[in-house]
Amino acid sequence: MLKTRNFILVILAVVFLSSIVFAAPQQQVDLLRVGVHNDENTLTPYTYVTGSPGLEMVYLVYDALFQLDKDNIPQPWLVEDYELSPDSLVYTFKLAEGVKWHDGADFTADDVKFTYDYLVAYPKSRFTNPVKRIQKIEVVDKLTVRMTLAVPDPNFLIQPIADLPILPKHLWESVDKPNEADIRIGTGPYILEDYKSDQYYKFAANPDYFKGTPVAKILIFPIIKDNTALFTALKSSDLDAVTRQLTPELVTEFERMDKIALSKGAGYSTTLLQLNHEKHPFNIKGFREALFMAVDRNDIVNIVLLGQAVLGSPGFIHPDSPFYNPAVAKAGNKNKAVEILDQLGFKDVTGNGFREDADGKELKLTMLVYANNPIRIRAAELLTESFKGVGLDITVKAMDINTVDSLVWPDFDVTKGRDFDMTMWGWSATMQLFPSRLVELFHSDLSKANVNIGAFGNEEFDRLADELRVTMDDAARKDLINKMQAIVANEFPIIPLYYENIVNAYDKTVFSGWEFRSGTGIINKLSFISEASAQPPDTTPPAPKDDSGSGLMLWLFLAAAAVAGGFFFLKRGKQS
Amino acid sequence: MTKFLAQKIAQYALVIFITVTINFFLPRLMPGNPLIYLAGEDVAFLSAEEKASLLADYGLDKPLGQQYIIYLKNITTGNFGYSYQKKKPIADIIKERLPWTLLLTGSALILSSLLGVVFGAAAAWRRGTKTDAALLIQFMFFNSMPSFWVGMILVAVFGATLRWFPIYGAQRAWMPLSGWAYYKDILRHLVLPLTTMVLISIPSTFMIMRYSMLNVLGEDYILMAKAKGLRENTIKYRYAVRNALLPMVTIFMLQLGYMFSGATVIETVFAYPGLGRLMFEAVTGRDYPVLQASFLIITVAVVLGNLLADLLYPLVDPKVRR
Repeated sequence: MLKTRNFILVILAVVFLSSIVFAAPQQQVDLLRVGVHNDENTLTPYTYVTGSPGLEMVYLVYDALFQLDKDNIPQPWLVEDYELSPDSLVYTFKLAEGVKWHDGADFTADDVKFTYDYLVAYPKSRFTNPVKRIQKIEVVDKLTVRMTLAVPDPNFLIQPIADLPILPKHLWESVDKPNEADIRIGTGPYILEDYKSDQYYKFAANPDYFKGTPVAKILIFPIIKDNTALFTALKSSDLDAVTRQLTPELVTEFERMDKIALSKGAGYSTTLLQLNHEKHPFNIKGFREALFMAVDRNDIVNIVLLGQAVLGSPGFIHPDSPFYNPAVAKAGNKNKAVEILDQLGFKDVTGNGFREDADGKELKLTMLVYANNPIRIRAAELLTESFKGVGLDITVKAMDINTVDSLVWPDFDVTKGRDFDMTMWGWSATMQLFPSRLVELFHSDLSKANVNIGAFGNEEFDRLADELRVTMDDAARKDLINKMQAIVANEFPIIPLYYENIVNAYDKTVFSGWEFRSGTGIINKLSFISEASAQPPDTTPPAPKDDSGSGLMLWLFLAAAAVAGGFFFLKRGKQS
Repeated sequence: MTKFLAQKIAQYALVIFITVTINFFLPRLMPGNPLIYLAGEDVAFLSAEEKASLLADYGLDKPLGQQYIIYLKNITTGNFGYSYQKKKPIADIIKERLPWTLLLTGSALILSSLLGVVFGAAAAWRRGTKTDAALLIQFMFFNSMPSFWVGMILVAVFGATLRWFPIYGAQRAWMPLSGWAYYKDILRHLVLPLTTMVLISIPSTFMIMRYSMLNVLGEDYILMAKAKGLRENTIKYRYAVRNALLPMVTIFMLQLGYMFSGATVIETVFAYPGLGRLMFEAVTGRDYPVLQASFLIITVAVVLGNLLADLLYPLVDPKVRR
């Protein structure tokens, strides 16, 4: 009797205490499984493959000095506090105290200087080019580092500061082949415990993380490259979330599922029709305008993307961007297109239903598109229908990615020429993150404009672009960017089609603390840490999910097969 | 016999040399280059010098002839090189993948050959009956089915709906398992891809076996056996099936070689970490060294399979013994 009472008391005490100790404000799950659609190699800054999900996964293991928040504004992270000199050239960063590497070593200012120097010694262009803007890095004391720039740089806190993961000096200083390094020690919220090429990543929560609590004790990223397989696994609860965003036709299906929640928002990747300005007749502005006018881009958004996209702005910049110029909006107009083509002398002389050019020469154009992208192929076909409607003979040609790239952008070097008429093209979200990328997209000096794949040129644009490079004042920059958008919208170097919205699906019964970052979606570092600064003590090991039931099913299945087989042969025997 | 063997080996050595050469030049004739995989997503922002130095790091700046010589040298020393995409030595990658591929394709080959032979013989024995028609229709049906579709149906029914089997991967290795549980886990992951592969590969064995058996059944000695009043099973198995199996031996040996090429589509549908998928990705990524290495393995395996068939056939068929 006494025993029972003691037992109850102990239980009560445990329940009471644990309700205090475990009263974590955020939910922490034992196991979170996120299907990843690409193998990202070992997750180091040198070996990851794609920006998303690759680099986002790198940030689970490493931290940068700053971290982009959900509106893409850089916030101090490994840095506690910082100062900027009045001339905008000298940044002094005070680093967070008590941060440790996964192997227990202290994180110090030496690691920061080492990483920045290392990236210059062993280039990895995404990080190295921005790092090169730093003239001098000094370690002031154990937790203070000072960086001096040659010229002011408005994007400095975004790249490299919020971009470059800091590496541990004590492990990397002996590495002279960074592409082959398999070092997994960072300061990040998760420890990469296991990686099997083309199978999975396994992370464990870093119990000593300095900034918030990792949301999952164990984080598994199975690698599933096939889209159908990936979404089926989410539907059947074999996954809790996936890195791939839902394709438009899947949205309604997932919306109807009880356990699934959708996170939607603007996507910053831009899909456009790229024109080759070195080629007749794309060098004629009127012709480009006619192409723009011939198309009702709403049709593409509504028919191909089922409404899950924002109409492309003629000035390139996404309407949700703070740099968007709303004055440039304009719509297609088929009659206007016909009128312009007639004026230019593009008439159907031969009577075959298609226009010839002003000299009466046959006009047959080809539109390239990636063969592995059904949405773009459908959009391309819709476009050619519209062009046919105004008498232009344009055929779609779907080809392997590498082949299209080698025609449009040989060796990924715009100075090496191009061999195409027009192509369906897409730029990733980073192009919208920095409005100054407009310079790289459209400046006529191809040595400055490394993504001007159509070799567009306009003197007035060049003048504004050159001015933008040396302008630091926010208002003046915004004004210049507005003017540049206006030129782009009037000159039609490209035909912006749409920005596909991001729709992420996840199993809300498992975990629902996802943070949607505008332009990129829920797969980002912020989703994987809760903001609570204190962490509850944790002693329970993760409970493995029981699968004995399905094991039984295997045996039942095999037994059934054996019985069926036996039956078959018995029956055969009788017949003969 | 020795002369025959020497001749065969010389022939096959020549075949290997020619394919090795083709393996080198063919991928390089495709438009595009591996730069995007060497540089990653930021290839757009590389300067011309950076790109050149990147290519130089992998020896891709040298003239093609010189690259070819280096490639031949490396083959003879067993150095397969370094994958552009995976940033790992290729020998390591292949070591990781080969067991999975062989587990899948090997068990599929054995199962589909056995089942194909059994059903083929049964159908021929009962030629013209309902059994024959049913088997024929059923296997023609599977034969005309794309493998990814069969795989997706199995996933939808047995994976997603009934939840009997896992639908992706080769093992659930993130939970440390040992002993029996470990093998059971691998087996459970194997069921769906294996079933898919067996279903789509039975038809060819079935058709060949059925045809071969029909030929044998028309022979005089079968008639003779029947006339002697031998038991049906004796005629069927000791007289007919044994002789009908001869072409199957050759086909089995040849397919042994093709096992090494994996099963790209099935591996993709089930996210199975095999060689087929590796090869497919190497093509899209212009990962020349991986392409060369995997083509080389397939070539050698197929040639060895042929050689084996050449050597073993006389043992099973006295008619061609010399």
